[in-house]
Amino acid sequence: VKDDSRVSFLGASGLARLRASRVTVVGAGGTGSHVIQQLAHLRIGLLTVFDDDALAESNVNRVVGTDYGDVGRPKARLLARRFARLGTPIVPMTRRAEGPEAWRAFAASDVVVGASDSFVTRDVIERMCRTVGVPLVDMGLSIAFDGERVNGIGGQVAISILGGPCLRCMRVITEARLAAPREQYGQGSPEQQVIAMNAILSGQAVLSVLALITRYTNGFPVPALAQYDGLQHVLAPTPLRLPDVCPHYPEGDSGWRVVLPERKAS
Amino acid sequence: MVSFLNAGWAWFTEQFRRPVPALRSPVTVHISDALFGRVRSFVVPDARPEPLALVHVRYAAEDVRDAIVAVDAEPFPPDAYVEGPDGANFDVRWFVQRANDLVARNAGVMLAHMHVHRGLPCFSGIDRRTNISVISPLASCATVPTGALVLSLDHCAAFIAGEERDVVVRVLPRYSEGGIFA
Repeated sequence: VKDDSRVSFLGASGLARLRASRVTVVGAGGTGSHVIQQLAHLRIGLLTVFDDDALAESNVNRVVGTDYGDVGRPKARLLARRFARLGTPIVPMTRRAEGPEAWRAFAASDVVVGASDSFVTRDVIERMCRTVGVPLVDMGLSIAFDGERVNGIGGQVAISILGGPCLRCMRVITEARLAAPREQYGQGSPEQQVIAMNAILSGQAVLSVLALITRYTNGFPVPALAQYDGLQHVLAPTPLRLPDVCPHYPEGDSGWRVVLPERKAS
Repeated sequence: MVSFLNAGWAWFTEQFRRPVPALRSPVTVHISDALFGRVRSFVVPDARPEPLALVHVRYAAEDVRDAIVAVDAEPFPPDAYVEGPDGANFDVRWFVQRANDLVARNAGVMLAHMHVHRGLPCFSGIDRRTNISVISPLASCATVPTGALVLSLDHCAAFIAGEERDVVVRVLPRYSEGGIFA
């Protein structure tokens, strides 16, 4: 496949940056699968996918690129094979995004995309991304459903980047949410019809990735937080009133701290 | 009986299993756009032909020595320079003492200076001699990284003690008021 930068709105330099870029996606579920598919189509330099889960039957209605014959197979490997022929090298990591492999993948990435439904995981990957200074594009969707009717559909795409607000500043991560097991799609059946909502959020997330890598927006700011209201059918940037400096991640406090033994007074 | 045979088979196969080599990626120094700007402001030639700065660095994680994070920077104080025939002459005793102080604060040092040209800079012969004779010996303290940074007007390269080749420096994007790239 030939690149023709004359017809790409990214231009020659933007297209070159895209082709050389490395992105890591954490989570190959409802939202992560959309992101993986779109990044595979965009033909980036390297895509690394972390997910330690196998595909469950209840996942098939929202994990794009899968069918019922794939149930029981590791999602990361499954999607890497499914989208392998689109031109993006995809490295599946069938493990949790922690430990040296995750550190190395994050440190070598231009952007990390967080598509996990666990707030604890999202908190951990944000800490790792902030440490190595790599932007994190995080997304999540939740539905308030009381068993009879939907009371709210909310989601967000948040960019956590050095010098800017973190997920705690943006109230995406709170202590109450960290105590909750997972982002809720609603009570009852685990099979939820959220594929279209996931597509909206993941589309915005991939646009954020594209903007961070290629800077195609021509000076127009990329919103740090875009919130989705599924009942109003609106995805809009959210103005942030934030402290000048993020109190949760002081920049000079980054990196691994060695605990040295106390010096004895001579 | 079955479990005994399984344990025996596991022990037997273990004898032929080679240890998996640890994944290793190229060493990279990560520095934020703002901190990089500060380092640049410290080392731009002014009254002194080759001003120097110290960049404070740490490993990203305990078991990840190939991602190095720059966390702070400071210019050399005037009394840390000495007169000599070469462009940059500094008091090695002051440098070693400062590096020792920073180890106690969990940070290693990278000695930064600038070559005034455009394009990717490389260390000169004098720089490399300094790297070998002054900076590499400091790396005996393996809990923190040690190295040197050379900036040009638009690029940067780094030396990390223990690495055979110059390492890549990644200048990382930053938030601006109202969004990113505003």
